[in-house]
Amino acid sequence: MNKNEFLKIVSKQIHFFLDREKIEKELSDHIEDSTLALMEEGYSKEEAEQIAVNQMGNPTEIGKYLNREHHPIIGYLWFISTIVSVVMLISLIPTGISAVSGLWEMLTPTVVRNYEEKIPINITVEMPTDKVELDYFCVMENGDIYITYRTWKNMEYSRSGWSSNPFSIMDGNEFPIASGGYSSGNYFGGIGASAFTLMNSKLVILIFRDGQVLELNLEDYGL
Amino acid sequence: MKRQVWIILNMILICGIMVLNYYHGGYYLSKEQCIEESMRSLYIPEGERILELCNGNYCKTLFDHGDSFSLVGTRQIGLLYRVGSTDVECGIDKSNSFFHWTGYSIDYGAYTVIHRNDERISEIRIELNTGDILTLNDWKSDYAVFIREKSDRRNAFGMYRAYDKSGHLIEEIDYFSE
Repeated sequence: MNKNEFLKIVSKQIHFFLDREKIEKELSDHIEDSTLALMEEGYSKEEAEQIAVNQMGNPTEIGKYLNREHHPIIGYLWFISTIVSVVMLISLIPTGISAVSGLWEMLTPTVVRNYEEKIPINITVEMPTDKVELDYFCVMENGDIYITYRTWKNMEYSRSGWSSNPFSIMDGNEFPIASGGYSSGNYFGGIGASAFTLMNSKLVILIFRDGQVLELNLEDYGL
Repeated sequence: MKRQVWIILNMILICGIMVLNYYHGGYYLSKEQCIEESMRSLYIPEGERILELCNGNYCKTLFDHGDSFSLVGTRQIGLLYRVGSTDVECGIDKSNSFFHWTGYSIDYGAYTVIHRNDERISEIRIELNTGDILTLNDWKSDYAVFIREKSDRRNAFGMYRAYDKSGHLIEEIDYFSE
């Protein structure tokens, strides 16, 4: 049996594939060291290698022993858990990007595009599900007014993830006057803007999803 | 570093990411908790649980609130439960007619809920526009529900006839019959 045959028989006993090459390399180095030492004693290369291989012992027994020492189950557990961890970490990247951009969005008061004038509201309404920060009245060229807001989710209250317009808009006669708007959700809550058209009344009533009522007199805001 | 240490670190990382996804993704271990939080989140008042309809991994639970009713949906994903995206119809007012028909089209089927306002009604026979004929007589607190597999509520359109115990016609309503 030459060195290569010896190594092949040993590696057949190693069940965790990533350990085979490493063990083969270690044994090969060991045999080469022994071969060199024997050559220094005067043996030819072929003789020295044969003696070195014979001195190693039974390759099957050595292979079985090394397999036990290297625990193939531990090896596979390590391999699989590493792969899963890497995949999960990679899958977190979009979530992380979305969380960071969401936080950026939430830390900046919301405005709508192309407004003519913006007047800060700076009122916070605490609902069980969300905290709503009313940012601005944005007055548009056509006379419509947007109320811009940010909603922070209260995950402790409910994780179910429902999001919808946090309030409806009425005039002083409790007549709905909302005329559109938009909202978008993010990791922490969402931002949005609700438009309304002023009729005769200067009183705007916001009725929040949980039933809270907030009256805003537009004259107080110079509108 | 030893492989055993790496395995422990990997497991901690995997569990951490799973807990984060579970918590923030709105997953629940029980259907009841999922429904309860969904209703609380939408400010749906507490109601009497009437029945549950399941279609594959999707379930709808019907709640009666007195003057109105709600359908709250859940979706089972493996061992976990999650609220669907367009899965809650809340505060649906009951009508004053003999019976009331409400249809919902969703991506995994079309639900039809019938509420009877007249206790004489013991059976409703439906001639659907699709040609199918259905008989509903399994009432749960005045509600009867059926599911059409195809996700189009028009599959539940047709002629609805309500009969009493002796088979006399009480009312017939044409719901968008062709």
